[in-house]
Order: sequence, then C-alpha cells, then structure tokens
Amino acid sequence: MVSIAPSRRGPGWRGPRRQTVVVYVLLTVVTLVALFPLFWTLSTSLTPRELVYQWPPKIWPSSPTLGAYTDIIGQRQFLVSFANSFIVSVGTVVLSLVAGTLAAYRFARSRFPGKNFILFMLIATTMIPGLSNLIPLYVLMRNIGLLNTHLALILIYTASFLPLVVWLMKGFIESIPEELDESAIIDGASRWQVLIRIILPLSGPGLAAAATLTFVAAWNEFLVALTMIQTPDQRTIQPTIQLFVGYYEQTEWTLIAAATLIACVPVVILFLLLQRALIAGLTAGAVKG
Amino acid sequence: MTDSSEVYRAERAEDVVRQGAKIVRSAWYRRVPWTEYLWLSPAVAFVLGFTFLPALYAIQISFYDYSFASQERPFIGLENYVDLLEDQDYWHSLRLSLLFAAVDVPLTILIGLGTALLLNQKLSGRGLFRSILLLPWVISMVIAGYMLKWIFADSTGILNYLLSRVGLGEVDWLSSGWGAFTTILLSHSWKVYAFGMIILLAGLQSIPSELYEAAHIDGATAFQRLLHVTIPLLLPQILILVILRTLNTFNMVDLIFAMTEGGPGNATEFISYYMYQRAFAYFELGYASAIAVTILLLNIVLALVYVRVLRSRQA
Repeated sequence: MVSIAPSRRGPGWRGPRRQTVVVYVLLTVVTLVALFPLFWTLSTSLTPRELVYQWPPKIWPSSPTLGAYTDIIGQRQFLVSFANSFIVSVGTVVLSLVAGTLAAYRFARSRFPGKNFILFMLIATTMIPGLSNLIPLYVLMRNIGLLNTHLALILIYTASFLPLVVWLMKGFIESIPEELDESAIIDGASRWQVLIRIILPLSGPGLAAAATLTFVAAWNEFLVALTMIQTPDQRTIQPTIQLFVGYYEQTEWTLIAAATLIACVPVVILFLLLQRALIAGLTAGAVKG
Repeated sequence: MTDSSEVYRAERAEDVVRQGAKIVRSAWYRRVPWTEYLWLSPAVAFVLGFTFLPALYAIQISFYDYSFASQERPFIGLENYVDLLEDQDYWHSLRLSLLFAAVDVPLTILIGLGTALLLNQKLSGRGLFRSILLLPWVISMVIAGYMLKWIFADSTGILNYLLSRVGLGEVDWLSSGWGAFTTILLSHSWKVYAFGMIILLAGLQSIPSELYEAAHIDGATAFQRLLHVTIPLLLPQILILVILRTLNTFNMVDLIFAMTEGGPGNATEFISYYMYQRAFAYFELGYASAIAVTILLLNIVLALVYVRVLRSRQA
C-alpha cells in the first residue's frame, strides 16, 4: 500500500511553491500538537521534583535530572509488571501467530464445505465488544481457576486478536504463487512440509505485521488486565501505571511522567522498526474487513 | 428351487445394499474434510471459547440475580431489563455515550481526513511526518490519558497557563461537567485520529491522478476537487470509519479511568464506565450483564450495517 503519492499538480498549476509552504506549515502545526503531550511528559519527567508545580511552568527544566527514572526503575513492582507485560505479550503473539497461520494457510489454499461460513463467523466475532464479554470471562476464569494468571490474559487476548491475524495472513499467503506449492507437492511434500518450507519463509513481512499489531495491542490492553488480575506479582504494566497514579497523583508527577514514558518504550521501538508492516496490517485489517 | 433362488436373490440384494451403504458411508466420510477442520481447529476453538460462547453466557447471566454477595443466584427472567428501563443513571450514561459518539466520530474522521490530505502531498520528509503523526495511536489509551491529564489539569496544567498567557482565561477542564466532557473529547481525538488518517491515506493513494488532472483542466478549484472528486471516492472508507469508530467510542473506557473516573458528578459516566462500575465496583453481575447486552445489541446493529457497506462495495 505504501506507494509514492501521485503528484496532484497538473500542468500550469499556479503557485505550487505557495501551496507547498502552506502544506508544510499546516503539517508542522499538527505535528506539534501530536507531539506536544509526549514532549511535555518528557520535560516533566526530567524536572527536579520540587519544581514540578512551579508557576509559571517552564517548557524545559533548567537543570534536568534523571532522578525520577532511577526512582521508578528502583521500584520492584514496576519491574515485575514490565516483565509480566512482556510474558503476556510474547505469549499472545506466539499463540495467535501459530493458530492464525495454521488456519490462514488452509483458508488461502483449499476449498472445502463450510469454509466461507467459518471464515465469516471468525471475522464477525470481532464485532463482539470486549467490554460486554468482560463479565462472562471473569466468571469463566474464576470457575476454572485462572484468575490472577498470565494465562487468562494470553487466552483472552489471543481469542480477540486471532481473527485479524487470520485475515492478514490469509491475504498474505494468497499473494504467494500457488505454483510453488504445487511443484513441492509433486516432489512428494506434504501440506505440512509445504507450510514449513515454502509458505513460512516467504511470509516474513506478513508475520511481522501480525506480530507487531498483536504485541502492541496486548502490551497496551488495560481493562481485561485490570479485571482479571488482582495480585501485584502477576499485574501487567497498564494497570500498574493506573495504581501508581492513584498513589502519587497529588505529589509526584515527575514519577508518573517517567513511568508512563518507560511503559511506552517497547511499543514505540517496535513501531519505529516495523512501521510499514504495522500500517499495512492496519489498513488491510480495517478496509478489506 | 424357487425358494432357494429367492433366498439367493434376497442375499444378493442384502449384499448390494450393504455394499452400497458402505460406499455411501465412506464417500460421505471422505467428503467431510476432517484434516482441513483440524488445521482450523485451534483458531476456531479460541474464538468459540473466549469470544463467542462468553457473549452467549453474558446474555444468560443477564436473566439472573447474579452477584458475588450471595451464593444464591435465582433466575429472575427479565427483571434486570425492567429495572434498566427505570434506571435514570443508565439512560443518562446511554445519552452521554450517544452524544459523545455523535461529536467524536465526525471530529476524529475530519482530523484524519485533513492530516491524510496533507500527507498525500508530494513533499520531502513525508515519512517522518507520518511517523510522528502516528505516535499517539501507538501508545496506550491509559498512558495517553495520564499524559493529557497533566496538561489539562485545572490549576497546574500548562494548557491553562498558555490560555491565560494569550488572554483567553483559564478553563475548568476537569472540575466542570462540560469541561470534563470536552477534555475527554479532545483527548480521545488526539489519541485515535491517526487510525482514520491511515485508512484514508490508503484510500487517497488509490485514487488515480488522471481524475485530478481532468478536474483541473475543467477549471475546478482545489476545494471543488476535494468536494467532487476526493470525498465521493473516499466514501466507502469514510463509511467504514464511521461504523468502526462508533463501535470503538461506545466501548471506550480506559480514558475515563485515567482522566475523570466518570466525574465530576456523573458528567463523564459513559455507558461503558457505568457498566464496569455496576459489575466490578458493586458486583451486580446480573444487572451489569443486562447493560452489557444492550451494548452488545448496539454493536450487532452497527456490525450488520458494516457488513451491508462491505457487500455493496464488493458488488
């Protein structure tokens, strides 16, 4: 989808220069608005804590300090939650990519009765809001003894991201020429071997897109994690941030600012590395639905 | 003689039937693509077990007086729904959510369209601008909420400082009802506009440039080209965005947790937040499930419209 934008200037366009300047100015303005909250959080996090309520506020601290960061990193709960979020997010990525690719491979390569119905039902479940499923899932997890476990989150997240992964991977596998499969099958390869030897090595970008979307969504999820986990040792990062704020709100905005920024780091890095994949996945998931 | 030949014939017939049945059975058996289903089974099991069946279970719970306070969970039929009808807080939260969606959805799509149009220009640094504009969408809703809360804070926030510096006076962003509503609205727009931007940018890039050139030769101004070429061609994407964004807005709850907790008073007690409170602050799971079912129904209606839109696009 990432192609070079068509030039919109026909022959004899009057004042292309002026237009370019206007576009740059407008882009700069929206970019500043998009960036300002992040910048202001960074600035706050570097402010010495006794100066955080100074009035008038300073746009950048005159003597920046990393004190808030060392304080946050020194907190056991923060590190535990960070690690927990990693476990849950990676677990979700692995499960949804495995289950999703298995299904997508057959959806892309085979015709069988019920195929379209199953595919439609799979995609249709994405319209069931996570919110209205929260209560039954809570009761379910309570009954099967999975409350306060990472597994509960991994299972719920996997179920909710799977349809998107199936859809993405199905589209991706369909773009791999089927002749490759056929020649392998003539050579005596099983479907399993075709998947491992032919499809997967060619699916790198598709898998990257699916993994990025899934990881970011799992890392950022708040409500299910808040509901399913009450024990501090299992808690993931988003609910932990919420508890931090409840605890420090009146006094320590420097700590809150540092904590929120650190909690963003994994997804922002992933986003910068795999931006194209992420955008392609997002577009395919939403538009082709 | 006749007897034995009849027995013989009957035995033959039986054989034929048995053979035939065997053939039919094996053919039927072979026609069911068990191995294909096996490949799909993990995905189907996940979605059935943790999305589809829970949705049905939510409907079931809504017919019970289900709470953690007591061990008894009697079936009460439609009583929860009857209570809903008289629950002023419920109607307040529903109205609030509808109002919010009515403002928020057009606003985020407009911002998305504007930024997409800007990014669709041929200029250097496009990639960098796009990355930065996407950043709010990548970070989590709760974290975005806290970052913005610090900016909107009534007496200590930088926004009020800047407003008073330019002579506009301070605004009670978080301590007044309409202020809190506006704060949530602006914050949510900041967080999600990029989704529309990406979808619309993809749509813009698929519009052939000849159309613009033709419009240009016909003497259309930039605004006329936008109105008569761009918007009509983007209509499918815009429709899909309206539906997806409305769905999303109705289930938005993280931002309220972070910024207002439904307050001040109940000025930002959206239906999503109200449901959560009834379920997990008061533990009235049956009653909250009835609220959840109304949200689910609303989602299903929107989803049906969505399917309609997609069908008409493919046709």
